Amino acid sequence: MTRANPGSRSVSQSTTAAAEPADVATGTGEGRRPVTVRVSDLRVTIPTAASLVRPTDGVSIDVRKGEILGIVGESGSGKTVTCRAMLGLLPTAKTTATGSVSYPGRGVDDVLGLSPKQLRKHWGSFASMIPQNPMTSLNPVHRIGDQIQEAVAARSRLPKREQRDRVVELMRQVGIPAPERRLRAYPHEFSGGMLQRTLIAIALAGDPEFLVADEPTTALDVIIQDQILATLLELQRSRGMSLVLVSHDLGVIAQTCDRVGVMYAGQLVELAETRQLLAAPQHPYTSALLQSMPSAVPPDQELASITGAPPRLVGMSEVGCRFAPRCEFAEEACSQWPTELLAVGSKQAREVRCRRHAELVLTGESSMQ
Amino acid sequence: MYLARMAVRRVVQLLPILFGITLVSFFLLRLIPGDPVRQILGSHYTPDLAGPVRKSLGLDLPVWEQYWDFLRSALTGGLGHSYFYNQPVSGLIGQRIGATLSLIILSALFTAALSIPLGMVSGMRRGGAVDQSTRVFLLIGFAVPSFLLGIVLLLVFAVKVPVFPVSGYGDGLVEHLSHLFLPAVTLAIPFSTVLVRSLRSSVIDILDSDFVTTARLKGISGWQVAIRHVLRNGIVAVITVFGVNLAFLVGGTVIVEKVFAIPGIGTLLVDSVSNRDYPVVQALTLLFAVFVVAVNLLTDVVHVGLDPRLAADAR
Amino acid sequence: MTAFTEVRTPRRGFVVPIPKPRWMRGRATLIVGVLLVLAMVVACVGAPLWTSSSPTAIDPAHRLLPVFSPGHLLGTDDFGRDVLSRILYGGRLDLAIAFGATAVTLVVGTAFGLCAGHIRGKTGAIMMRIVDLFFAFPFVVLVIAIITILGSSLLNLFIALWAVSWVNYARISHGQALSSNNYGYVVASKALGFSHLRIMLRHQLPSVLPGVIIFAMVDAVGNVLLAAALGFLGLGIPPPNPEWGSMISDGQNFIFSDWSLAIMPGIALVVLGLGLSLIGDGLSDLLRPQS
Repeated sequence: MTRANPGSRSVSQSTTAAAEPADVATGTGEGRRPVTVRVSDLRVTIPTAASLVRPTDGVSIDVRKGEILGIVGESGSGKTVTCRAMLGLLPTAKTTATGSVSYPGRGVDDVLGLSPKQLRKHWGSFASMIPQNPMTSLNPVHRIGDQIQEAVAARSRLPKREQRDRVVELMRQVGIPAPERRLRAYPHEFSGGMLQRTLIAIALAGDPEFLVADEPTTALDVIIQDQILATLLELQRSRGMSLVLVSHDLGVIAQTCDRVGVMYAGQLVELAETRQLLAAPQHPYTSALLQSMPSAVPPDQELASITGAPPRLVGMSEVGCRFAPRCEFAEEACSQWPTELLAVGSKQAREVRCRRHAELVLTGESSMQ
Repeated sequence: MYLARMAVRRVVQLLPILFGITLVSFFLLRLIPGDPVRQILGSHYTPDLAGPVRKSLGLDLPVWEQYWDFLRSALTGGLGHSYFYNQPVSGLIGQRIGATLSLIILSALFTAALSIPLGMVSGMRRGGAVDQSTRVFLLIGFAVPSFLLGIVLLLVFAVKVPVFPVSGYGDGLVEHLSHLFLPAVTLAIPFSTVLVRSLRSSVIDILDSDFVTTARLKGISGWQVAIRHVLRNGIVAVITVFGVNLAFLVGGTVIVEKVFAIPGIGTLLVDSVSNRDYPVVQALTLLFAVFVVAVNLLTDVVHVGLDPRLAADAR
Repeated sequence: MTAFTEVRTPRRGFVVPIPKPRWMRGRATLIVGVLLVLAMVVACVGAPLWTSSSPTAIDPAHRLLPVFSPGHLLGTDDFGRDVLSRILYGGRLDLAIAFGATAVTLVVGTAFGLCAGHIRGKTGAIMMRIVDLFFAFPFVVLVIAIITILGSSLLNLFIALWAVSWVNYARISHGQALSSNNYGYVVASKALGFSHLRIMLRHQLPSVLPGVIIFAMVDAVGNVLLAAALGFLGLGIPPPNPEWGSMISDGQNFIFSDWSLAIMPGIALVVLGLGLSLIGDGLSDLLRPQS
């Protein structure tokens, strides 16, 4: 599997901070922002008792400074493995990976090849993560204030008292009310939303440039979801961080991201600017996803769903479109096609993994904001 | 502080058990076939002598009154009168309890010093050299009886290579320590096998937890993760195991004291059995049981203290 | 959920994998354990086949012979008795305890705990309070106390062990029975009105058994060690019958000169204990495979 047009992606060093975020991300402006994290043909293999599983199979993505990149897909699509690999984390000790993850701005060419000690230097100060399950992601026997302070202390040389002040300030920024009173609380005394805010505070304690949010609102109820997302966006904007937001909820992605990558069965099947993706998707899977959302359907109609079953990752063949079995536009040739990401149009920042994309007219979603 | 309140509440809950212990200890001896007076007087037994002796021991009173007397005096520290030594039992115990307590405390310290590093390292580096050797250690340590281990240690470290004294207790703190060193090691090793197993399993579970990943991602060092997060959580489960198995440690002291000829209450118990000195056996049974209950209570309190989630129930 | 870790090059342990036939794979511990115990049983039960000396025959002329003496493979003790035959005949006692004491406590304790877990309510609570009461006493102390009362003999030793050890099984089976009360098939059988006995035996017992059986191996080791410890303390079976514990105790007196007297029976004890432990470990892996 090859990446589309490797030569066409030049990284421009000129700063175009004044340009619209969308233009900057897709390169329609004079220059494009520098790449913060580059994933290059990443293939992660996990040996299981039975055989080999490849949750991520040839993913290439650039995350640029200041952008919000969404990654959307079903469970098992490989989005979690991919985004964690960006931090240098792989599922188990026995996992192997080919391809690379690099931090061009930091001069790190091979994140996955770093030793744990070297990796640690980047955690907290450059890259950080907001995990999926706030209820289990904090140490149950330490106080909230101490846990945030631990993150602060790891990355600064401030004396204790000033560390405390910084903790309180962080808590305020993430929207925890009355922080001074909450310092001595334990995780089990906090609600899910508050815990997630704490985790955001911890992630931001070292002033990272790059943040991965792995389904940050999935475990929370809808009202809190909105609040947390708003907080996250505000913080991203004010700090100018690159944010990778992973979700299976297209609604969340649509609200927040500049660009979206759609993953299926371990591969990236479409990558585009959010508005364009929603208005005119180029991949049948993306289109099907959009149509299957409850909000896409008028109240009196049946919900649409994608026929067939989610793919099993074991024993995936190298050749052939993986969505073909469930695709209503599939042809014979689709299952023989050595899939690759193709450029869409002349914009060069849009890619899709479908051999028929140029001829298909797919339904987009217009009622999504 | 809520821990104190919890402790008091637990003590109240334990009263039935304590009561039961006294019952068992008391009636245990009343089950002896034969006449205790005959035992005491031995060959001097005549019915005339028997009467006053029986009366002086209170054996002519109805059983329930005897029990009540026993209970009352036990609560005030009177534990009966030894047939063999012709002394109050409490005096006998007082002379020897120091040695046993020191032994138990030293063993507990050695156990902790041995189990924590072994449990942690074998759990965190599964399949590594330490883990594999530890598994062998666990297997053997469990199958070897404490008295045999004691003898082997004696053989190697006191006889062949005279580093430690062969027996006894010595005078003064330094001598006490040197006399208690081998016995404490003898007790620590089998006890450690249980704790290492428990800690290792606990550590393995914890390493899978999300909060460990969160901690790592802060950029703190491996040591800090290991101690502040993994160990701190792992130890909670181990405390419970420690409490449950403490009874075995106490039982072990009885044997080890014999091997190393330490004048503690363990040897007192064994000697009294051979001497048919029932009041002493009775008092010591009671004492041991109360000690185990007390230590279990202590570990419960520590357990709640270590895990704030449990504090909610304790309030 | 699997933990995410930093990438680490796979570490190779220093154990060389030995190719094994399929049915043996993963069962090594169990097989080794069974072989060890079997060897012990054969050696001790078939003692007359291996040694012609009597374990109790005193021979003052040949006291304290060292190991590898002619006619006395493991030497003689201070009464001139052949050590090897004492070990083999003495082993019968310890084996009897390992199996006899454990079997009875296993059945009685499990039944008790099963009933308590099934009945629950006040009766169940009272039953388990009794169990808790026993747990308050250190086992050794309680056994010693019972031996004191009853006197030292083989039967009394059994009685003492039976009276004290059953509580372990009760606790384990009670815990598991309580959990199993919520299992679908148990709830269903209660709803269908099956008799209590039927529910307990056919539905709850199978989930209780693995934990109890694994513990039985641990307990067997414990019982053997306990019996040997009592022998060591002089509270076990009275002389001249050989028993490993009392042999070790006697041998301790000669530790400076003839240390083999204490160590040989000790080795026998360890081998038996090891065998039983391995069976326990093997069964544990078998009945409760961990991913």
